[in-house]
Amino acid sequence: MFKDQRLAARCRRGDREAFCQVYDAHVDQLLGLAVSLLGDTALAEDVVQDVFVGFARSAATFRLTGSFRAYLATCTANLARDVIRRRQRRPEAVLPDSDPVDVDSKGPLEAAMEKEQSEHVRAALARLPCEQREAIVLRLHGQMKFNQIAAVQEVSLSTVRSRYRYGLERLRTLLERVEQRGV
Amino acid sequence: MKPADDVEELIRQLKCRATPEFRAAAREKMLAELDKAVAAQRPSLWRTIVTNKATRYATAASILVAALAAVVFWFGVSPDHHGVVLAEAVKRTQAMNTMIHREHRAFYRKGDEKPFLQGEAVKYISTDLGQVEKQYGANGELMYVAYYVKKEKRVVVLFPAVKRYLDLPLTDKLARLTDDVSPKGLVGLLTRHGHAELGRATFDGREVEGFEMSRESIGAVVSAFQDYPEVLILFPVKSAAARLWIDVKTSLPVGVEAELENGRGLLSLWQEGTVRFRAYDFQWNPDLDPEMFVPNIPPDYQPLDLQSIEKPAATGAVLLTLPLVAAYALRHRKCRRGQSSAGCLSGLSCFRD
Repeated sequence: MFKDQRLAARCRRGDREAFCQVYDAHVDQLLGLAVSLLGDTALAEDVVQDVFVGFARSAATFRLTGSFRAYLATCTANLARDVIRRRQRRPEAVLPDSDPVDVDSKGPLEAAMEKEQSEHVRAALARLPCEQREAIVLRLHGQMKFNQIAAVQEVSLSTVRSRYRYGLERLRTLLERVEQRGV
Repeated sequence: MKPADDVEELIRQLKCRATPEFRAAAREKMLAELDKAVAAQRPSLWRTIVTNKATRYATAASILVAALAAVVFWFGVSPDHHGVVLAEAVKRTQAMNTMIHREHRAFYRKGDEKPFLQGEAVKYISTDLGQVEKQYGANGELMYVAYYVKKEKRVVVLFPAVKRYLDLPLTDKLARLTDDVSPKGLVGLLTRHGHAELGRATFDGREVEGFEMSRESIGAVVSAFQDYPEVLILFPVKSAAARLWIDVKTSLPVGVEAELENGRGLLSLWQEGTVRFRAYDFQWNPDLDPEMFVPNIPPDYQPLDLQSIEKPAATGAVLLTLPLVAAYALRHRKCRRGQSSAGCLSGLSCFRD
């Protein structure tokens, strides 16, 4: 946290290296978050880019009260929600593309299995109601606390917990169906 | 496939890595936006004058003195033996008469990893007229404005928060060195006393060639301050190191990094420490209003008298100095609580009382 505050102070002075450090440290995590929220890599990239552009635009007035991780995750969630609202006419989120889902340096079989598993999980996430998906993704991907998520969603703590719990149950059901189909 | 009851873990394991193309494009857009934001912010910095705390005053003065030292040692040169990049840089900077750059300064006590004070300065330099330097604190407050006036051979420093000013003579030695505080002099510092080539690197996203000053030039820096005994008492410079970064595409300097080690001085409360500088955001040959180089001392500002400060004996120096600083701070606080500041805010001369 203290490191983040020092970095934030450098950002306020317009220090390009500080911005690059923040960018490098969080871009992958935010992209993962956005892909999970939107289920669309191209849209997720647009959102993440907008997050960092907005961050740079507010350089002089920027005040960090928590961690960069939580701040940027909140920005990503807010922008992703705007995107979702704009495309609300569509009944479901678009199923995720496979690019650029990460494949670590593993064997080809293991990598293929993990990739397939990720696609199933993302597809299941995309079928959740937006609020539940957001609560789960911010909690597990953004590593945010429930009270922080409550602030982002502007609802009570108990509502966030409920969304999280019901969302997980629904996900579990969806994934069990996939297992039962022997996929 | 892992069992669905491990669903939290499954989501945690979802990973995503930005493609190199996206990573580069988004970074570039962010930095372009940052440049715009910083450019838009500059005028507001000019208007920012915030009241300083008492303790800030002494440190503001120490920044100034350290800055003087830095100014002298990293700008002051003439070309000699050097590579192609440096030769081209000498040629290109000869044609430049004005420049602006920003500078980040951080002060560390000896043994500390974290700075106890940081600030940002903006420098406006004219080969013919001299230079103006504005030092801002960490919160954007204006700490001082320093004028190095070539024609009048004066160094004038205004401290807005306490309405005080310094008016020092620009000695021949410092005048000569200050003369090099210009685009023309910048590159030459490295060659006057020799330099080491650092090779290619990246500075603020640009491909640059690095050069490091030699040990001989450090001696020249320290000797330049023999003209200023008060500086040696306030903030003695023990050693210095500096690196200049030249853009390989434009052959113009784009950055300077420097480090000063200070000995025991009044303004560092007789503690040794380090000052680190990073000059960046160079603008070459901008239009500068000549009026900005004329010191404008407001009529309600009172002069500071540095000559009257005497160095206490080495032993017990801390014991002697700390109460004086504390007394100064207390008196300053009293003034700010309602008494007139005219009589007691004698700045550093308070230390004499």
